[in-house]
Amino acid sequence: MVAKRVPNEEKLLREVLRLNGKILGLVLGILLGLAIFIGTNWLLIMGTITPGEKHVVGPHLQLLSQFFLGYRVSFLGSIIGFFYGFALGTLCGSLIGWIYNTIVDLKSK
Amino acid sequence: MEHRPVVIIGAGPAGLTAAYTLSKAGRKSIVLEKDQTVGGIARTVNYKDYHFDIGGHRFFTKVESVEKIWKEVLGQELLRRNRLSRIYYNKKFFYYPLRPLNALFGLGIWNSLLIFFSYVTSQLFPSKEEKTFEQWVSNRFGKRLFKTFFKTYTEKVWGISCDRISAEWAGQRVKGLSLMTALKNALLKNGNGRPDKNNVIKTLIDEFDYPKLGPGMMWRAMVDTIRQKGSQVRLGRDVSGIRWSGNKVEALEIQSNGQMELLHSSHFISSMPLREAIQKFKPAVPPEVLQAANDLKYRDFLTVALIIKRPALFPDTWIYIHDPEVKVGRIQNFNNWSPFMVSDPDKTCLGLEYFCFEGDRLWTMPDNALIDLAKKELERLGLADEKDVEDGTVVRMPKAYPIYDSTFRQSLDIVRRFLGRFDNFQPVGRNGMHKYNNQDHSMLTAMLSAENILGANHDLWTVNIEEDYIEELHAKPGQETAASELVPGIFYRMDKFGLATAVGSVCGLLVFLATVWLVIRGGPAGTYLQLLNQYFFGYTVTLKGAFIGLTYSFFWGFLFGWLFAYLRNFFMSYYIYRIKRETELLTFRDFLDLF
Repeated sequence: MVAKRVPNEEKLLREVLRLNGKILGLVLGILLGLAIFIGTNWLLIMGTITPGEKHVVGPHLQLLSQFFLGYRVSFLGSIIGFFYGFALGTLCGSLIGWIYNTIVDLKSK
Repeated sequence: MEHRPVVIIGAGPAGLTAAYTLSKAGRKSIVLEKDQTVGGIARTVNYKDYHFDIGGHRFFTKVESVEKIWKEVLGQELLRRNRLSRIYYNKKFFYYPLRPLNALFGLGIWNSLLIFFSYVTSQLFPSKEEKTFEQWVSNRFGKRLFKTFFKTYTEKVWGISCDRISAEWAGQRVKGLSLMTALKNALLKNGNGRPDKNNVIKTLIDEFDYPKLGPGMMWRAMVDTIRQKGSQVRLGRDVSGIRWSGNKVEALEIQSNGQMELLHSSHFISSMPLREAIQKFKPAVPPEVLQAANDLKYRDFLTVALIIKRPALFPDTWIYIHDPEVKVGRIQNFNNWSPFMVSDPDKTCLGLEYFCFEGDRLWTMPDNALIDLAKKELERLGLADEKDVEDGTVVRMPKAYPIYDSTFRQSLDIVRRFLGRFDNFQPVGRNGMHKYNNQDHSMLTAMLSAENILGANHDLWTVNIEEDYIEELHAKPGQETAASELVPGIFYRMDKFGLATAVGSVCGLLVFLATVWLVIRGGPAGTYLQLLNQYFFGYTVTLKGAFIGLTYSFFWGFLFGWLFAYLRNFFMSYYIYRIKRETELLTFRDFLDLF
């Protein structure tokens, strides 16, 4: 008559971790956003000198503008890049969380 | 029918708590006690105004509702006491819980080293089987420490060899710091995996509450409250028969002054020893159940209280006597439990505790002979001079401890199955359930049984087995999720396939979309993305290449995700294992107190 319950220690062995897609997305978003923001500003502070050529800052990072429209290697660009990075990270994190949880749910059925 | 008083057998901590809980809910009860005093094995004896406890009952608990009752009943009469106890071993005193320097000098450096190596060996090569108490302790603390600090004392207490005591006993008793508590502490408190020493160790080991005049004060006050609320506590009533039919207990046969009385009720709570209860069922229970009940064994206990005409003999609250040369197992110094226990402050009242079996040589010794034995042993231990002992008395306590021998589990399960058929008979307490509960857990079983009568649906047998269950039961609403559900959830294993697929899919999708985007828009970035073909053979920034890139990225993402989940699970398991080991090692601090 008494409701059966699973002891916590048994749960620990049996249960599978669920990911919180929103939180994972937020974390990945912040990390990617910050990476672009810091990476851009780092290049602005340090600069790049190619001997015998015109002084160009961040020619490779500038290529991101092909994906992140409006981005450039400048302080304003670093803020734009932060938002793009944040959006992409959030999307990827949420997607990882959603796919992971869906598979876990399917396997536990 | 519902308004008949609930009949409760036994006026020990469990029986009285059941009556107290019921009376608070406005439900009447009748408590039947065989003896002329209340408190059961937690009673306090008054001998010429010297109060002494049968075994030393500290009042500390993790169960909030039990602590609430203690405070409700005694309030300011509950003293906060510091604890000091030592082990007498090999003619030396060791502080317990052990203090490293004291232990090192007491045992000697060579012996300490051997203990350390024995501990390391036990960790590297533990006994695969863990059925006996000896195996259980040796696996956790090492064989040498087991022989030094556990074997002699445990065998004195139980009267049987450590390899015949079930490991379940140790497992059940060492519940003070559960793995879950340690994990919660690791996450929520100090973050280093160790239980918060200030909160846990200090509270549970170094200090305790104690009624001014011993635990008996608690039970007497409880009786007063129960009676004031209209319930009855009848002393000198021996239950001689339990009448049952179908799935109901119908009535109790009560013996009092040679008269037999029949007491009917719709609900019965029993704290009488389980073996006795089953023997008293009428009609008799099936033979296999009776046989199982008869196989349940108990350890008995006697205290020789000595009054010594010297103040402050030693500072300890109690001393464990591991020395096999003397029969005494533990010595209580009641002056240090509470100064109010002793009527003359210039004298000391000691309780020398002997563990025995009802009817054995020690049990049947005349009181004078026991007092003489106690005096001699006290002098031999160097704690007092025989000539300073001015008076003494003996109290025998049958069935003080249910024995967890190698057959008890099987027998108990048979009895439990039989009792499971009754929906109006609940066994509670230490002897009532043949379960080595402390008074707090005994009280908890009684509270839950009372709540069951009032409409709840608790499983009393989980008390003291699932510590988390108790914490949950008495947690405030909403706390359960935070403390018990969420925290362990963080430690659950990660699904490797799930994470691998998720990471692989997202990586594949990113490379696919980036490639397709560049194929459509063109531009200098394509040259750089093309460099991926140094890893992804055959990859180009074309539509076909996008699919090749998707496959490669999925593969590498999958591998990365799988490896991440595998390593995360591995290190998390190691982390949990380490906390579990540390928690078990910490239990050494109060292991002997659990006897």
